[in-house]
Amino acid sequence: MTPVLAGFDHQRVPVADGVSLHAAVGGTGTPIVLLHGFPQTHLMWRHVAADLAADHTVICPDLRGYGASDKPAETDGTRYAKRTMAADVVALARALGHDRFALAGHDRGALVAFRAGLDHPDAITHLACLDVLPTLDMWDVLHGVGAAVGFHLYLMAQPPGLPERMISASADEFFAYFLDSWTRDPEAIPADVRAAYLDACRSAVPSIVADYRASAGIDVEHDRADRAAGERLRMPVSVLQQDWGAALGFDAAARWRAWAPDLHHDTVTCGHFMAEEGPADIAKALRALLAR
Amino acid sequence: MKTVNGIRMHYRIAGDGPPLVLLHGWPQTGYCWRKLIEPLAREHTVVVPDLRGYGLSDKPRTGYDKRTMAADVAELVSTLGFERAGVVGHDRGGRVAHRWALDRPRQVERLAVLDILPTREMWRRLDAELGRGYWHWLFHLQPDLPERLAGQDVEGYLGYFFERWTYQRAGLEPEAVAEYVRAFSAPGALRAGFDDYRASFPDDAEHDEADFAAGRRLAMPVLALWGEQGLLGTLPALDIWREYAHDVTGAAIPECGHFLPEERPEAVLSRLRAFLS
Repeated sequence: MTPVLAGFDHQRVPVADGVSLHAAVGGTGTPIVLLHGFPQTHLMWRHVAADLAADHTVICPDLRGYGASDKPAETDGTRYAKRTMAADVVALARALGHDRFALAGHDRGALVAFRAGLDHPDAITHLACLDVLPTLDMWDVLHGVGAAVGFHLYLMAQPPGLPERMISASADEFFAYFLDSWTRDPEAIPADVRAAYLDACRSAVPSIVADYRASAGIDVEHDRADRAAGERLRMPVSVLQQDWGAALGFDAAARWRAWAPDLHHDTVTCGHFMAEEGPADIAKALRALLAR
Repeated sequence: MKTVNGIRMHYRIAGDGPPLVLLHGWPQTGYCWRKLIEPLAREHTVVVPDLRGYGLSDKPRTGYDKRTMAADVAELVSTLGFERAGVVGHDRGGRVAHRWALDRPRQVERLAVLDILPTREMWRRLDAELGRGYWHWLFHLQPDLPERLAGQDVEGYLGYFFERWTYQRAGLEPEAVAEYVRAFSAPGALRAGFDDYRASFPDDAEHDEADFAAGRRLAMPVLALWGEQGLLGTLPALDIWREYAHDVTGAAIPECGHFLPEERPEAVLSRLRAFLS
């Protein structure tokens, strides 16, 4: 049986011309939107969402191009720009009756959340980004052999053709590689959830690649323009990252602080999939953010 | 076929005169030198091996660090009865040749490196921009995944590089592509080629770093050639090589991508002849 977020309603919400997002919605209270990353769906929030729903309205969409949301074909290089995906999220919350909301994202979802925070400062009350650097900084720190951890970024940045073909031909093996190698606690992603992620990604290869390709091009341009204009995140921001220790080789907190003057930066001792590996820590950190 | 350094190594040999060894790169075999063998063989004994893991040579589980791969070809040359040789290396073969010249400077009389920078320099310089062009370095470093992904469509994978890295696409004829696809479809061939890349970190990087730190530079004449339209055309290749060798000459080959010996064989031949005489 396909796993679900227990007690949540599932809705399809039109957010842009011809594009609807699938979202799980539950709980009551001040609203928070949770955005999943790669290679996942809204299901990655199942523990954190259940916790927060006790006193919040919790909205967990599948991003454009992922899960059960629409996957428009990339035609002009903007359809998977984080700017476009962030506008989806703001439109989704508004359609559900929330002009202002807290926003937390993990991995790709954190890049969408970051962009939403810059583009829609009046809509985003609080912002949490889990286990990423802003796109501009990420390309800046990927250097030398250390860039090998981001090999998939470079693979999917290649021109259309090879990445889509090669990933489609071995979709389960490709996506499972990240689910299996980026986690410290494999039990955190049980078999039925893992199967749901693989099912979802298998039928989303072109849009997932388009999302990554945008981050090698148009997303960098948007970040660079904001950096040049001195734009900052004006809301309280929390960033949680894996505890890499000195192996990281750069000062992640300083890089985030340059974007977010009101920043809480913490490390979590777990793998990349922290909302599943350490859900209590994440829920606690999000509650602390919402109290700021 | 000769047994050298514990593996069976396939090679072609032609001509008479002082020996000249031609080392191919990835994703190729000794076949890449086909347009140069006959003219060079007029004045040289030309030795063209398939490197460890490539073509018809053995594909053992270990030994893809450049030190071992250089020991393979060094032993081949001495087994053939030559004390010294000129060495020309393209792509991965250029890295084997560079290591050979560092480890056995008395054996390598002259060195020509085609369309590479020293491996150490690649790791030092690899940033987002260079990584776009050298993404395969990062991908091939992954354990097992490249075999799985590329193995579904060897022709598609190799073809990508042949299309993207050429300027004179006609230089790689359909029969050449078929030859390479056949070679890399052999059991173990993809794995061995990726192992060549996997050895570049940390093994090759450590060897290169130790030599550089100890001040070891190449003393024999070095010729660096690169394709003007390739990635090296955007970098100060000659200046960089001069940090690694005392006597460097070189040039960009105009209207040429990565596959110099196949795209612009005449230009490469005339540069090599001038260098070797």
